[in-house]
This record gives sequence, structure tokens and C-alpha cells, in this order.
Amino acid sequence: MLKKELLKWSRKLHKWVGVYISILVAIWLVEMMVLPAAMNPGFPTLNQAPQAVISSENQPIPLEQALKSLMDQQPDGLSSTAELDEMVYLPKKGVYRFANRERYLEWYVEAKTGKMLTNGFDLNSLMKEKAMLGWTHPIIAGIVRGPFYFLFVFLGITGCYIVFYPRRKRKRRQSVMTLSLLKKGQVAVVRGLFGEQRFISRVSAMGFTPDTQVTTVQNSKRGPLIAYLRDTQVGLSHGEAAKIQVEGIEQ
Amino acid sequence: MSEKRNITIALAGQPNTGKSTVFNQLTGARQHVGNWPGKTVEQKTGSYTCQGHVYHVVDLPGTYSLTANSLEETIARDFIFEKRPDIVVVVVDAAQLERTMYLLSEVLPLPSPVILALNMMDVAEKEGCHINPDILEQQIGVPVVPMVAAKNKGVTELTEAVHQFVYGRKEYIPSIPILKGNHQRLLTQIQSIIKGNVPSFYPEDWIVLKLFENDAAISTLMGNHLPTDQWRKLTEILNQNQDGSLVMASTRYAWIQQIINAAIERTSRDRSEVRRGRFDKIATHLFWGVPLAIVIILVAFIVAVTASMPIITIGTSGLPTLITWTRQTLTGAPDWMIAMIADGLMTGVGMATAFLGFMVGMFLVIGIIEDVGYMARVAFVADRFMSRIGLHGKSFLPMFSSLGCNIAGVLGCRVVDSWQQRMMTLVMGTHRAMCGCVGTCWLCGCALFRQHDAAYYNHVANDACCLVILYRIFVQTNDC
Repeated sequence: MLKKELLKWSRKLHKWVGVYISILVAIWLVEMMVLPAAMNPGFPTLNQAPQAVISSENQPIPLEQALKSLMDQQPDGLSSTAELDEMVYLPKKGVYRFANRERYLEWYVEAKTGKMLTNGFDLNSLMKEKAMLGWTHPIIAGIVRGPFYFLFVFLGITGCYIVFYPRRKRKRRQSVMTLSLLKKGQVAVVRGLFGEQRFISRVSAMGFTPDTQVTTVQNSKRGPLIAYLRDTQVGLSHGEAAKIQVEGIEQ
Repeated sequence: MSEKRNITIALAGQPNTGKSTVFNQLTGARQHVGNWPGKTVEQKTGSYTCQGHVYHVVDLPGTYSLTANSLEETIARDFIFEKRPDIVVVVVDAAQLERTMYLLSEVLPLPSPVILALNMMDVAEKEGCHINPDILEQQIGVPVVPMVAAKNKGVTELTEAVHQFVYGRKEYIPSIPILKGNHQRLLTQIQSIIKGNVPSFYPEDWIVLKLFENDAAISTLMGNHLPTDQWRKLTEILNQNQDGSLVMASTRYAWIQQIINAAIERTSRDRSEVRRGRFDKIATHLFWGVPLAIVIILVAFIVAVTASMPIITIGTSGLPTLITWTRQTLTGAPDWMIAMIADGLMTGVGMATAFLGFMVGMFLVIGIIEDVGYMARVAFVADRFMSRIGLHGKSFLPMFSSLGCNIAGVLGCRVVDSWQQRMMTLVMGTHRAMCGCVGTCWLCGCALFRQHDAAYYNHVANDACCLVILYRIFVQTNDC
């Protein structure tokens, strides 16, 4: 009984968590497209730092020189060096990265020559900080996103349950007692037959007529079962046995 | 004075009642195995002489009843109606009298006179069932001949009984199962509708009974024969009484029980318990049944090949020397002739002999397994897996045989019940990987794909088919 309840709640949980995640994903997608345009219109979005053309064997120019050459090239959206609050050298890519964290803009300067490579909108940081309705208020992002990690664990547990539970127990609740439900050694009396004409005529010819006594010799719920009637052992598949209505008798 | 005429005896009986044994004892070596004309069911005919008269025996297909559900039953039924054999000998198993007499109860209303052969009397005696043939004869009204056909007992009595019946002008009044009370009213209703419109070689009351039972073949037949408004009236009546076949089956079994209660004395044995041997329990065991089946079938394969080794070696080993000898002798002849004889004819006949050997071995071994009764257990344990790919347990052995030799597999498909199942087993066995005739798969692959891709696609297609089949058998479960 408990397992049935767990199964029911697992299904409900899966359904509602699925809905929740879908909403989150929808919000994410919309924000990814809308937020950059809303905050700093006209800038392309960058997901990665560009790679410098020249190999990084030579020494990079010092930071101040890179900064100066950046300003000389008059980058878009940058009027003075005071706006930059992050300046970092990326050795693997051979570029300098200058960023304005407030507006999520970044500029890349090649480390060798000081030439400006690309600049644009730093989407990753934006999404990390402001997505999920975080642009309204940071706390709201926490509220929206918070349950996700917690629920994810639950999802895994209940998902396993839903997948493996049916394999363990395949009991179908039936209102009618049929031959397939008898246990080994049980004796019953045939009461009726269901199904199509062909099946009925074959099975009744084998001896399954009303008021016939049947003994179950073997019924393992998997594979065919053996019934004993009229001095004969008859093998039936579960589907066929489920179409033979019986009434158990006390011995 | 008795006139010499062609007497035809039809041999009917349920499977495993010893009907084939009776047939073999009667006809000996004078039998001919073929097919029923235009059908794929095996037919055995033979003859024997008794007191100077020749009797032709036709072995009808072994069926559990005479409904229209399968081809074998239709063949058996139609033979009795069309050819009107002089006698129908119904073979029943004395140890399982109640079930095996069902066929007798269906044959008795047919136009040919019946003689009952009570086979396997020894088994019945061992189980404590004493059957009195005279009382049986009195109750049913047909001659009853107790037999133990496997030990050749009772065969002469049977031939004598047949002879006496044909030439002796004995009175023949069989007892037939009759429907009771309110069902009779329905029968008279049906009869009044179809009166006069029945095709000539069917007796009218039998047709009435079959319509009551919702027999498919007879319904179609009468649908064509009756004028439309009468057919509509008939279908209206029949639709209100759908359980005709069940009622008729109950009536027949009630008739059987009434007769048996008079004729059998049982020593004390609880009828609802069945005594199963240890082997039977293992053979149908949920867990051990399949490994046992695999082991036994593999052993059977090995025995088959070993037993047929002599013939195979004749076919293959002597071949190269024979071919070179032929080439040498025929050096003067034109090239095409040498090629045809040496490469075509000799190789072909050699390979055919080798395969013949293998066939002999396989059929020998499969026949032994079938006669012992183990085949039913194999079908039983295999049914669980076969049903997941839409087949029945009986298809297991033909498919498994296709592993070794596809020809054996295809020939073995004969045992499968319905036509669709037979075709499915056949095609699946042929197009599976590791099959003897992989060439067919390759042919299909090459036909469908570009040449140098064909090898790759063949592998992929074969693996895919195998995976699908394996997945369906072992992983996917059907809700049934």
C-alpha cells in the first residue's frame, strides 16, 4: 500500500517538477534574447574570448600599454578607462580582457600587438547574475532558481522508482476471478469464457466448459501456466487464462 | 456372398492417441506419404488386406475437434462429407478417455459409420482405470475394439471388426449428444428457415447444429446459399444466441461423462491431483526449464550430426576425386559439357547427399524428442519469449533449427499452427544472423544497396534485426 502511495506521489512530483522546469527554461530562453538588447542595445553577444592570431611565444605587451592602445582605437561604448573595472590577461588565448561588469560589456585586445580584436556583450556573466527574473531583484532569482537543485535530486529518486516499479510488480486489479489469478494447487470451477468465437470454441473443445473442475498445476505469473482438467494437463498463456472465468472452491 | 469392392477406411483421432501407430500397424510398409491435394497438410494413405479383401486406409489429420478453426479440421471434416468413407475408425486414449472422446462425439453425427479403437489400454490399467469395452459398446452403440497398438495387440481384432461391419450387415444405431429443452426450440427455428436450401452433401440437421455453434465455414456457406431475407432472419436469431459453441461443448462433455461413468471403474485415486514426474517438473520449471531445453536441443543437434556423419562424408569426401576422374574421362568432350557434369551435376548431387544426411539426422532426433513428449515442454518454456515477438512457443524449434541449417528450420515450420505464424517463423528464421543460409540475407542486402556498401549494410541490417528481436524477447514486455 505504501509503495502504491509512493508511486502515486512520484508521478505527481514528476509532473509538477517537469512543469516548473519547463517554465524556467522558457524564461531563460526569452531572457537570453531580450536582456542584452534591453540593457545595451546594438552590441553583439560574445560567449567566448576570441583567439589571438599570433602564437603566444613572444612576450605580451604590458597592461598599461595595452590599455592605452585600446583607448587609441576608440572602442564602442567605452569613453574612458575609468569605466573599466576588470582588466585581465588570458595567457592561453593571448588576449587582454577589459570589462565593464555593470553593463556586461567586454573588450578584447590582442596581447602582442595591442590591436582590438572583438568587443561585445558578455552573455555568460549576465545570465549567471541576472537571469531567472534576477533583473527585478536578486532575491527573486534566488527564489525562482533555488528549489531547482533540491528538486533535481528528488526527481532522480522518483524517476528511478517510476521506471523500476512496474517491472517488479505487474499486478492488474481485476474484478473477475480468472484462471490466471489462481495459485499453484488451487482448485476452481469454470464459470464462463470471454473472448472471440474462435478462442471459445477451441478452449471449450479442450474441456473448459461451465461447471468443470480445474486444478492449477503451475502458475508463475510469467510465461504460460499449466491447468489440469479431465485427466489432461493443458498449457495456456496468461492472456488465454485471463479469459477463463472461474470460481474458487474451498477444499 | 460378399462382393469385392473398394473399401475406404478413414482413421481419425486426437493427437497423441496412437493414431499413427495404428496406421503403421495396419498398413505396414504399404503406405504413401504426401500432401492433401492443394494443401500443405501431410496426408498418409495405405492399404491392407483382410480375408482377401483390400482396404484403403486414409489417415486424417490429428485434431482436437472438428470446428472450422484450422485447416486440418476442415480437411478432416470435408473428407468425411465428400468422400464418404465406408468406415471411420476413431482412436481414443483409454487413459484420457474423457478428453479424447470429444472427437468421437463430433464424428458420430457425421454420415459415415464409426468404429471406436480404444488404444493404450495398458496405460489405463497401470493407472487403475478398468474400462469395460462391452458396456462402452452398449452405451455408445458402435463396435469398440480395445488395443495396445504399440505392442501390436488388438490390430487383428480391429481388422476383423471392420470386416464384420462392412460385410456383416449388423445393425448400427449410434448414440449422439442431443441438445436439451429450450435450445431445441432454437434449433427447430433455424431449421424452418434454412429448409430446402442446404447443399446436397451436408445433412440438414448437422447444418442446423453448426449454425447454432456459429461455425465460421458453415456460416459462410449458408450465407451464399440462402436468399438474402432468410439469411438476415437467420443472423438476427443467431446474434441473440452467441454462446452456441459453449453450450454444444458442454452438451458433448455431459454425454461423454454419462457414458464414462457407466463404463469405467476407477481404483482410488484423487482425480483433481496430477502426478508429475521429476523430469516434468524440471522441464517446465520457471528458471531451469530454458537451460534444460537449450542443453537438450544442443545435444540433439550433436547427435544428429554425428549420426549422419557417414552419409555426409560420402557426399563430400568422395567428391573431389570423383570430379577429377570425371574430368579425365571426359577430356575429349566439349568444355560446357565437362563443366556441366563435373562442376554442376556432381557437386550438386554431392551437396544434396550431404544435406540429405543432415536431414536424416535432424528428423530422427526431432522425431524422438516429439514422441517422447518433450517437444511440448520446450514449446511451453519457450512460449514466454516467443510471445514477445508475436509467435507461439511451437515456433521455437523451427527458428532454433535455422541456426544450423535453414532448410531444416523451414521444413520444421510445418508444426506451427496458423498460416501467418508459419510465415513469420519462416521469414524470421531465414533473415536472422548466424543462420545457415546467410546468403539470402546478403542477396537482399546487395539487391537493395550499392555494391561496395552492401557488405557494410548487410552487417548493420543483420545486427539491427538481431538487436530488435533480442530486445523484444528479453527486455520489452507486452501487456496482455
